[in-house]
Amino acid sequence: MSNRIDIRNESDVVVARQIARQVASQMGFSLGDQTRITTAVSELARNIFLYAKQGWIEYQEITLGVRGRGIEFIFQDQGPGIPDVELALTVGYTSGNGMGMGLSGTKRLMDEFDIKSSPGKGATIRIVRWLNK
Amino acid sequence: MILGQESYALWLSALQKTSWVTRGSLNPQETERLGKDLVEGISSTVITGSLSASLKKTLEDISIIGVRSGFTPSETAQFVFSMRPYIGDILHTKDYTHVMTLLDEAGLYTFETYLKTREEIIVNQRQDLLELSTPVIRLLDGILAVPLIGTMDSRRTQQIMEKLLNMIVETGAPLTILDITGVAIVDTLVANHILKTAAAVRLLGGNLIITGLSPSIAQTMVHMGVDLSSVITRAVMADGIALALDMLEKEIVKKQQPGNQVKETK
Repeated sequence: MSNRIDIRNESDVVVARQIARQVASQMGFSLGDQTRITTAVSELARNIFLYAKQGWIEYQEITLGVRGRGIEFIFQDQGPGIPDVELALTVGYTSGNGMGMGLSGTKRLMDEFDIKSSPGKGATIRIVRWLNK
Repeated sequence: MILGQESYALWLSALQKTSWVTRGSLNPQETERLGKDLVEGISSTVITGSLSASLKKTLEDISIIGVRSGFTPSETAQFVFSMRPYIGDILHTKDYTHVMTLLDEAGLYTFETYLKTREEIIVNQRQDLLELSTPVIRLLDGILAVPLIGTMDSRRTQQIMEKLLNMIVETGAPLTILDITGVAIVDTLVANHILKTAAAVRLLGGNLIITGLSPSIAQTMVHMGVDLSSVITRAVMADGIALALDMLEKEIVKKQQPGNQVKETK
């Protein structure tokens, strides 16, 4: 059963990370992990707002045999998409006026990170953090 | 023009018993005026079929009074819906369904305006908060302090930056301590703002000291690969103040006890 957060403006980004922190803390993530998860959600939610104007986040607790419990967030938008995913993940590359660290940094903060995107068709980013490592 | 005077009087006296009058939000004269406008508005609407501008104006007035009096949306709409049992007789109409539909529309319109009025209040309050929560403090001679609290969205950061840079020019303070204890999350946007603020402060001949990074934020930033090494940072505000004093070659000394030898300090 997944939950949904709509991103339409900047204040929705704040709502998204408040929910992320709450869910992470309820699942028993450490304070450090809560901060990682919240930062990652803030980063990707803001990307939706900045690049696609609007989109949504689905999140749920997941369980996978050996890995145990984890939290999964899926960020979806129908914006311009990411023409070159490889390039977008390069440290220092930005198509806006950010630091160019958001995507690569988020990838390092999480245990799993996948992007699916093609130009003009929006982007879907899935991130997972496992409770026990 | 009011046709069914008797029913109209009955409705008004029913209205006097609702929270509108009992809680003192409206006096009997105002109730009568709004009531008359409302009946006239609905009666002209029955002919045209859509809510007239003057009726909308009356409904807006009702909603605004409702919001200001702290009524719930239902209590606010009650003003209009309380007319339900009387409206047919007031207007001497047989077309009951038509009148009820219009009355419903009018009632729903008060809901809409009620929400709009509330939203306006929220927007104004947000603006107030923005200004309230970004003070630039003259901490000591030559040292400014900016305690950041809450969310660092782009608008706020812009405001803080402007305010700070103006204060630096005004006071000629060479050092600024930016404390982010109250900022829950430092993502790349916030980090970028901090770096840009530091660069702007340097352009004015000053220096920025960042304090209040929590251990988990520090770790997260290192994991992300965000490099803040070009900015001077200290764990807590107190360390930041000590460093600033040191940089200014100043120190805080204990008051001299009478009789003690006077020590030279800069």
